[in-house]
Amino acid sequence: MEVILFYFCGALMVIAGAMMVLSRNAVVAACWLIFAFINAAGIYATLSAPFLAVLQVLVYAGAIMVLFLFVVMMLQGPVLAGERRRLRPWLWPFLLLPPLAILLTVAGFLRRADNTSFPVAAPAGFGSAEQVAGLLLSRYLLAFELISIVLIVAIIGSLALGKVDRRQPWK
Amino acid sequence: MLETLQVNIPSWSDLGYWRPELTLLSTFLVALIGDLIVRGRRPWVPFTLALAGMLLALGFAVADLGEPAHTVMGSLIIVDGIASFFRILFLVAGLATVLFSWTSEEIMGVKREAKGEYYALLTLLTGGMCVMAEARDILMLFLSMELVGLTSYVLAGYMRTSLRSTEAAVKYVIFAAVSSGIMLYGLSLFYGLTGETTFVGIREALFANPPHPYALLVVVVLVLVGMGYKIAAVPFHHWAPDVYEGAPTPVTAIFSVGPKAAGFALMIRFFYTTLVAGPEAAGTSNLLRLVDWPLLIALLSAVTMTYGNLVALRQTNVKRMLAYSSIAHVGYILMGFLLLTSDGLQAILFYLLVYMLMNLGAFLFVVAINNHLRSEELTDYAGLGFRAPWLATMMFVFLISLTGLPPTAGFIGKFFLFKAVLAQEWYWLAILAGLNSVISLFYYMRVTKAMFFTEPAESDGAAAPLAIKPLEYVVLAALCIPTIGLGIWWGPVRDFADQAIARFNVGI
Repeated sequence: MEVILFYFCGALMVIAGAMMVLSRNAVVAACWLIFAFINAAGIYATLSAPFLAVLQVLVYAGAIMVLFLFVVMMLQGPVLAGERRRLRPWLWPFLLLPPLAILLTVAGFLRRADNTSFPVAAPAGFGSAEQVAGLLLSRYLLAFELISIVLIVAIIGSLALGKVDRRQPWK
Repeated sequence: MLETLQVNIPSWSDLGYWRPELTLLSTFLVALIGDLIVRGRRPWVPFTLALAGMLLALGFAVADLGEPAHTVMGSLIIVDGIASFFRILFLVAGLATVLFSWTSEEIMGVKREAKGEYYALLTLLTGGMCVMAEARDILMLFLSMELVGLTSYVLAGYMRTSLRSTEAAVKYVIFAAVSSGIMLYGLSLFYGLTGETTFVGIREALFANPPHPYALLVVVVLVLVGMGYKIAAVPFHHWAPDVYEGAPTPVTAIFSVGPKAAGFALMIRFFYTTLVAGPEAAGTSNLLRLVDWPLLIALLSAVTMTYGNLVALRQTNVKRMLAYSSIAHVGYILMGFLLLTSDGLQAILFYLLVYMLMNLGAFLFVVAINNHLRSEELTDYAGLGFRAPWLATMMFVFLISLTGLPPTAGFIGKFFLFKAVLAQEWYWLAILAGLNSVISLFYYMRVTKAMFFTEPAESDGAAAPLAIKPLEYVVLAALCIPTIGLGIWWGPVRDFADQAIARFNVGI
């Protein structure tokens, strides 16, 4: 059952991702992205990471994407109408590269002599809120702290670059 | 179930080994707040704070050189020989850039407005690069790359009134997003193959249970994409010329050496730890044969240096030409990775240090000239040999060092790289690199010709001597003297690199 759900969510996520890239309307693209995020949450859930799944829905599909939509609507997201171009013919063979890479990797995984070393079933309590919190406060404490610096940079950067300046040539 | 949960909060005691990084992080905050306190009316406040912080961090980094390898707060970060080596490299590059930004009119503007966040971000960029050189866990690898990346985008787009600068920032963000996405995919497959996130754990799992060559090849190539983007190797280089040309020149100067060297530091730690058990054990690893690593790197290196040099030939903008030349240099440095031996590592470290001196020098010369001429076009460089003789002579030294001619440090650096390649009997690669050096001579000498053998145009004031600021002389001389000095007496720096390799820890 879980396997079926995993592939179901995975397939939907790939489709949603492709539709997001292909759609010409920014609002529609954002909606597809939300759909992709929800499917990602489904994948987390089937991989016995329930806490991550909940966070994915709450934070990404919920808060962040709503902000996204607001910004897109505020800027009256552009609808790319006239611009249609075909991929140049000499680039077509490169489209085969990603599937080829995936095929090679999967083949490599399947043909491996010893597949037993990697744990398949998650231990009890895996992926719970307590365990995530425990890891964040012990093994990954430094990374956790560093992320706060990354966020400060993002804030300062957007302030520094976003200030309105009358001298900007496109104003 | 909270009572059953065991949380071992890592001890704070080993934070002492992270003094340079902590200094840089706090300087970042102090410079920001300092600028707020003076309400942006005293541009020297953030500048002085950043300068002081970097000097202090450099002092700590030098003082910690002899310390044994230590992890800091858990298993994510290690401060060992390689990290100490790169810390010094980054801090010297950061210091030179901070000093030069103060003279640059692109950054400070004609009215010398406050640039609090600029100096703060420059400090943080240096700190982030140090973390990149210390990461020993996939998570930290990615996080440090993001920290350096985010800071770089802001710095690249710092001249908000310039369309080119904004374009540079946007291009940087988009290319970074794509390549780090691809790299994340590779890293997640590494985790899938081994079930480990630390580099050491990955190696042990790979050695104990070698994966199928196909899977390992795909995974290694995917990770190489992300790192190749960071060091701007062909074919992941597309962002580099536009970003280098569009970003403010002092920022370009540090981009061309800092994040690039940090990318190499990551590559060194990642591949020397996961594919072989350190530089001494390179011959015993069969993972290298499994993925045909030498051929992979040889191709990457050959394509990178040839492409960089050939395109540089056709540039008329000096900044853009130096951008392509820095791509070519990545090709030379990649030769050192051929078999992941300690000879190769020594050559890489030596060359990176030398490259930092000469490339920074060349870019800072462009900054100094841009302050006066407002131009980076080769035709405007005509007659600079007479208008600013000392500066032009120093630029000449940087250029022959970039070409790799004796008696400069560039020659010794290339000599070590060629020696490492020839020792592995990859003759065609060495011959190709030699040919490339000859090609590069042509475009480097075009700048020299413009400066010394072309008369300046006879328009008003175009032949008058330039009023070069003392600070510009001092910083350029501080980069130029070692560029010649290391060409004559390279022993100390080679020993410095050897010590770094001897204390390179691949095991804790």
